[in-house]
Amino acid sequence: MTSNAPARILRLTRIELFKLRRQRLAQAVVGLPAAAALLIPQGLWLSGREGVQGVLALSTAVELALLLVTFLGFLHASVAVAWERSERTLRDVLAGPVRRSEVLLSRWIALELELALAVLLVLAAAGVSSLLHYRFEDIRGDAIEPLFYAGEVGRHAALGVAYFLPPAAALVTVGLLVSVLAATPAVAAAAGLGALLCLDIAKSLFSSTSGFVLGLLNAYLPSLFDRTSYLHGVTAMANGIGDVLWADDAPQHLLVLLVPGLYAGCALAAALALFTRRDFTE
Amino acid sequence: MIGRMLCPALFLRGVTYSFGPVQALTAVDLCVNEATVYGLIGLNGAGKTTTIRVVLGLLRPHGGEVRVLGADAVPREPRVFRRVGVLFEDFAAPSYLTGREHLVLQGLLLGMTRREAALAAERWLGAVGLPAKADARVRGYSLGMRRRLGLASALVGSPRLVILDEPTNGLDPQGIGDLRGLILELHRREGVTFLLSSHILGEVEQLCGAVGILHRGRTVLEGPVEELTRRAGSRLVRVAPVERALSVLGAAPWCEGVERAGVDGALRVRLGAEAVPRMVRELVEAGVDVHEISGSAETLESVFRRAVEAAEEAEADQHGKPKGGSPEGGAARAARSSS
Repeated sequence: MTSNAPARILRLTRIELFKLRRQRLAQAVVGLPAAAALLIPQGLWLSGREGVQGVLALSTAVELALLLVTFLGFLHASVAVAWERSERTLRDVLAGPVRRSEVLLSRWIALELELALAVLLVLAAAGVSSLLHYRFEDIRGDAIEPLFYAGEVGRHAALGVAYFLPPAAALVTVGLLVSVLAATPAVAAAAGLGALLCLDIAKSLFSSTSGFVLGLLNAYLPSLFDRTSYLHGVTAMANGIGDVLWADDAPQHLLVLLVPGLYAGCALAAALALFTRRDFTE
Repeated sequence: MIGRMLCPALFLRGVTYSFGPVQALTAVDLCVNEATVYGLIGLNGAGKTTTIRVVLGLLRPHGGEVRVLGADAVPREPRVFRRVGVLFEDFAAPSYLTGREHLVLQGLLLGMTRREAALAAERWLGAVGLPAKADARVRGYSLGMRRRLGLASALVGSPRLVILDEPTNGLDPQGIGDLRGLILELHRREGVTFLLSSHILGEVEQLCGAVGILHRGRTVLEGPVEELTRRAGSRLVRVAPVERALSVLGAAPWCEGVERAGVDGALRVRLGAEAVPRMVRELVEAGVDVHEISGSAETLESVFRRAVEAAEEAEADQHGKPKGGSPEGGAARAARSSS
């Protein structure tokens, strides 16, 4: 029986992952986007768009499915603590041989792993469905050199995922903060949606005027509806033109990782501070 | 220091806690010896559940000392709570899990391997009478089944200290009997210490070796049940002449109370068993004939009632105002609960 903090966090994470496997909302977060990613290329094919390049079907499926992943993942995170609190099941965990910070950290890790699994499933489903219905060929247009080399799909997809995960993970962290603040799941869900809207408004107000490229309120602030940052990055990458928008040495490569990282760090610190101080026993 | 040496299971001294302006605990002192079944009793709102939350480290006390299984519980140290089991009054398990899964997860939380947790789950599901429903989802459990699962959850880690908050709530008579049997068996066979919070005094009297009475966030009486009931026992004494006996007993410092009982020379005298020979001697020396002494120890309910009344009187004296609320009402509520 180990008793140090990492061992306890690992143990709690295993418990959280087991619980997630049984939760319908978690099943929806993982299952629905994958199902969408599977159906979208099929839908395009059935609607008679045989001429569409495979990479375009793939990018459409990935973009829409990842939008769903972000939304559902955020929603799940925003009710994760509030739900257990209202069900009175959180108290039993807190009464156990664990620290509160460990309980929240393990929950956060489990939610992020859930997000990663959902993304992997989306990619797999979209890839398989696109491959079944479409060919992946170079896009030439009128240019001398191809605009897109079919052989680079894998690299572009990997880059797209790499640029999608940090902002999405940051949004899940914000969802967890909302959940710690809210007393009931209904309030948490409403506050979560409100927070998403506020993020978008803040971003649209500040990002265009702010000269602080490294500040939090810049174009790389992760938000759900605004398409100027990570989702655009994903789409661009999936379309195979990311390297046209962002050169290999462009600062965007760093910013799209750094800004959400800072953002998630602040949200997690605030959530931990609140979770360790609030009374969850009533 | 003596308290610490004698009370390795649970020791609270001068514990205070307030919810904003509301003082929930003003001075809680408890001393729960190892391998005892200890009853924490009090009226609704007396501070029982808050005390339990403080003991478990769910609430950080604003003052006083809390020691659990010999270790300081403030600040909360996880290892201390590895051998502590708890059943909250409104226990709830995640509704999407089965009873068995909940117990396995509880075992994992306590640091067991999956195999150990599965074995422990099997054992305690059987012990609380839930094996048939072990693989059904908790959302389909009745209230009584949930309480049984909660009890199994409290016991799954083979704890040394088990805290049960109103454990019989929602249980049918058979369930209450099973629970009582299980507590006594664990206490006798494995030396498990139980802290049992309840306002059902009959249940406490049957199960507990010692009690602590809380009233308005303060410990007003604590000790072994046998000693408390014996100390406060009343005797029916038939004497003649009655008036002389009344004056002798009324002036005696060892007599806790005396009153007429009927019209045939009977008095109800409240005194400890050790004072009975002295009473007889002093009455005889005063020229009073003692014809008969009968009676026995008091019930826990009357001990509780008097402790609450005394606490309210002391409080009223302290504040220089009439007694607040109705002690009789409170006692009556307790009596109704016990019935």
